[in-house]
Amino acid sequence: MTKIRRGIWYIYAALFFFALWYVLAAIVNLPIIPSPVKVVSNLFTIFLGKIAVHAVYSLWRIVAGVFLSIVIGIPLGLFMGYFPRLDGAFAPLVYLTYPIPKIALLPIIMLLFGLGEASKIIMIFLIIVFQVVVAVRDGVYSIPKETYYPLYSLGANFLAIFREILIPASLPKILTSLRVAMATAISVLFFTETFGTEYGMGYFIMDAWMRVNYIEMYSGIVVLSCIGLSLFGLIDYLERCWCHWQYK
Amino acid sequence: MIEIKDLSVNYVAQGERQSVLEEVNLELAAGETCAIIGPSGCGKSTMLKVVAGIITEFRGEVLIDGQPVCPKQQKIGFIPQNYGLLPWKNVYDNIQLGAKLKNKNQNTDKEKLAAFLKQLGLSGLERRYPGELSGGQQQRVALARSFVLKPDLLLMDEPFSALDAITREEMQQVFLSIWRKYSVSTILVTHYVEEAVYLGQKIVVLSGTPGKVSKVIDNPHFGVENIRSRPEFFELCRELRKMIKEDWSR
Repeated sequence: MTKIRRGIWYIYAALFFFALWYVLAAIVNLPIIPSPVKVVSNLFTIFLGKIAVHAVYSLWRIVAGVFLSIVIGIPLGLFMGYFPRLDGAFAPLVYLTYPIPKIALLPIIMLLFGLGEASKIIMIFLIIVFQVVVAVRDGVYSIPKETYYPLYSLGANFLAIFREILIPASLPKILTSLRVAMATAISVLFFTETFGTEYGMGYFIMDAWMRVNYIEMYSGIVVLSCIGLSLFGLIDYLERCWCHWQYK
Repeated sequence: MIEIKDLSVNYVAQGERQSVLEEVNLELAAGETCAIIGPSGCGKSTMLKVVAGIITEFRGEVLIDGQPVCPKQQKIGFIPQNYGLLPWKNVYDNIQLGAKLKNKNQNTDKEKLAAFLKQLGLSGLERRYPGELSGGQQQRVALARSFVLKPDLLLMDEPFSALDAITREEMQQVFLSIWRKYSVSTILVTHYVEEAVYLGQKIVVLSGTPGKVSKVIDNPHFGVENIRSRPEFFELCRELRKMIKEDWSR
C-alpha cells in the first residue's frame, strides 16, 4: 500500500516538473528552451536510430567504473575498518588524496591511458572509489564490539566474520555512498565524453549543441538524466532487497 | 569442569598499565551454574571475556575440561548484555548461526529445532528480525542460539538486566527450565543479588579494583520449587547483601 502510494508521488513529481518546463518554454518562447512536448516526441522518433548507441556507451562506462570501485574499494575499506594498523597506514593516503578534485587529473589520465575507454572508466573509478572506501571503513568502525563477541567465542575465523558481520553491516553504507557518488560520476562522465570519442551521451549532447539542434540536445539531456535516475532507482531497489532489516 | 587458576588481567589504557583482575581462582563442576556478583569496574565482564576466549592476553590458566580455552575446538556460548543478535539475520538464521559456524556440513535436526523454538515460545517468529522483537523475545533467541549448540560452557554477561522486572523473572525461569533439560555448565555475571541467589548454584563475590574473589558461597536453595516466595530465599539475599556491603565498602 505505502509502496504504491510512494510510486504515485514520483509520478506527480515528474508531471509537476514537466508542467513547469512547459510553462517556462511558453513564457520564454525561444528555441533555446523548446517545449517538452516537442522534445519527448522527438525522443521517441530518434531514440533507437540515433541515441541508443550513445546511451549504451555511457551506461557501460559508468557500470565499468562503478564495478571497479566496488571490487577494489570494498575489500580495502573492510580491511582498513577491521585492522586498525592497516587503517593507520592507509588513512593518511586516502585523506590526502580524497579532496583533490579528480577531474583536474583528466589531462594526466588521458596522457597515460589514452583518449579511449580506459581513461573515462578510470576517471569514474577515481571519483567513486574514495567514497566507497571511506563509507565502508566507517561502516565497519561503527559496528559495536559486542556484535563480534558471540562469533569469537564460537571460534569464527576471519572469513566467517567477513561474511556474517562485516559485509552485511556495511552494506547499507556502501549503497548510500554509491548513491551519493553516482551523481558526481555522471557529471564527470559527461565531461570526459566531450573528449576523444564519438560515442556517449556527452558527445551526443555537445554535438547537437554545435549543430544548433536544440531539440536533439534536449533529448540527449533527458536520456542522460534518465540513465542517472534509473541507476539511482536501482540502488534504492537493491537497498530495499538486501537491507530491509534496517527498517524493522 | 571449568578451572580458573591464578588469573590476572592487565589493561593498557592511556599509556598506563592497569590491573583489572588479580589472582582469581575458581572451580566449577560440569553442569553447574555459577553466578558472579560484583560492583561495576571489578572486572567481572573481563573475567567472562577471558573464559570466552575473547580476551587472550592474561596470566594464569583457564581450563575447560582440562584443556586451555580455545574457541575453535570447544563449544562456548557467549551472550553479551545486548544479546549479541545480528540485526541483519532473522530469528531462524540467528539461531542457526552457531550451528553453521560449528558443524559446517551437518544440518541440524529440523524437528528438534522446532521443538526447541516451541519451548522458548518463539514459534511463528522465525522470519522476524531482531529489531521487530521485544527485549524478552530477543533474550529467548539468544538463549536458543546458545543452547541449540549444546555448548561445553555457557557464559552470560548481565543477561537479564535490560529487561523489565516481570519479564526478567519470567526469563530467569525460562533459563532454569532449559538449563535443567540440558545441564550446561554456566557462568553468569550479574549485579542483582536476587538473580545470583536464584540462578547460581555457586555464588562468587568479586570486589575491589583490581578484582579479587572475596567469597564463594554454595547456594543451598538453588533449584528449590517456588524458592522465590520462601523466607529462606529472602534470608539468604539479605545476608548476601550485607556481606557485599561490608565487602565493597572496605
